[in-house]
Amino acid sequence: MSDPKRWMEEGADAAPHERALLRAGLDMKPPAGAEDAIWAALSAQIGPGGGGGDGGGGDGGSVGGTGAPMGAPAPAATASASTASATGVVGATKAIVVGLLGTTIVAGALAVIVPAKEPPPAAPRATPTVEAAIEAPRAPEPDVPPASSTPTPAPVAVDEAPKSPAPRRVSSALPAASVSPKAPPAPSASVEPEATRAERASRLREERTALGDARAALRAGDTAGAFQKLEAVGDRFPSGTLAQEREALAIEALARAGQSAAASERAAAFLRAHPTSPHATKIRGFLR
Amino acid sequence: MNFRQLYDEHFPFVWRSLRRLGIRESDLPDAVQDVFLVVHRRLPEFEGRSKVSTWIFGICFRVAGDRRKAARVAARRDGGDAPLLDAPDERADVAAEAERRQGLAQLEALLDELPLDQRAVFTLFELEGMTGEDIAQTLDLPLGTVYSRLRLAREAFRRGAARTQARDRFYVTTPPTIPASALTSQAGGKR
Repeated sequence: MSDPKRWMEEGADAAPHERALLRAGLDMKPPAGAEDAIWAALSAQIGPGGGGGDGGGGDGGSVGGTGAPMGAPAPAATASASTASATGVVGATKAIVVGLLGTTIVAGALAVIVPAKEPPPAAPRATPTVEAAIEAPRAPEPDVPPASSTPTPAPVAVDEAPKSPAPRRVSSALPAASVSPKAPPAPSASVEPEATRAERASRLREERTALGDARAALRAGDTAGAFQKLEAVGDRFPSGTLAQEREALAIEALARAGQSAAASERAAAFLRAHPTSPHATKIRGFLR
Repeated sequence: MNFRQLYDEHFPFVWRSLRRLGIRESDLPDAVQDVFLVVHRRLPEFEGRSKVSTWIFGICFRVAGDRRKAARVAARRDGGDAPLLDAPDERADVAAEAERRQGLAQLEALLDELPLDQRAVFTLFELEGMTGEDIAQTLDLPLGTVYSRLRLAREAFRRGAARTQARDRFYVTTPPTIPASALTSQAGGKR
């Protein structure tokens, strides 16, 4: 038995349109920043022993070390909880984490006491875990608060609290809540008329990078951070080439922050302004 | 090999493998993280009997299978995953980006029709470029089974691609090559 020719190979038995379809799958690179964001989330979970990597001790003994709940400063590590999802049994550690959260938030002088409750929408999402399928008996793991990685229509504080233990982020969540539903920026006359082609290209690159950062923050569950970044991009490039992308991301961030009403309102505005946008289909999903 | 090196080396592989196994963009960061958590915990047991990538793909496959199940449950419960946007990547051109996404969406729709085991074999072979032997080892299957799954997947993909093409022709392309007059005269001639 020997392998047949791959469809992408020369002379293989594949039609051009089949190859064309397949070719789309070759290009599946992770977006910029994803690797670091996920690493940050990971190291928050596996603890400094496994996460450090420089000691060469990432293998072996460090696994035992993961038993230490949250590796002390870990809660502060951004993005950790949010991407943590589905890591399994929510045990006593959660109580501790929730307790911690409570105090942090009180310290942060925020009037929301929600975190004292069980984080409700997320809990049922704790799916049958991978772990279960792979190995039955396992050492106690550092449990993470059940993440809410998909937007659940809930008041922002509920959604925000479990994944933002640090007061810094709790307070920074406020601007997110108060973002006004403004219409997506229309192309306007404020583009510098004298901008040369090269300047435009470099501005576009800058805009793209900044949006990439915002998206990475969003992916990592840092909705508040994403909002700040998006607003910064909006200030810097009020009528940027990627204004549509920016607004689309802002809508998504709203939805993820649990502000589905605001998301819906801005989605509607977006669709009115750009009915044929490549993002229209996805944006429609935010309407309610 | 320490965990950090392993992560750096295999992150893109894990990312694209999960993507090709049908994990939505919105779920990818979580899924990638799940994979590496398992990798981290099981690293001491990894005996080097197979290639590291083979071993890691096995974990990706189980994570993807798990998440597919969970996603189906969630879809039934609340009408599906939230749509997820991708900010533009290195491509400057938004139009080109839109085109790329469309291609990707079409491919995904086709792959989504395959059962996960066929999908794994098909994407590992056609996109990742793995050999049949490697795939057999990765998925712990006899080589013959790998080939038969590849054949089934190809057939299904082919049918789907034909449908896609027919639809595209219908909606998108006007036939500029054949003048309307020629068409009518030809049709008339045949009758």
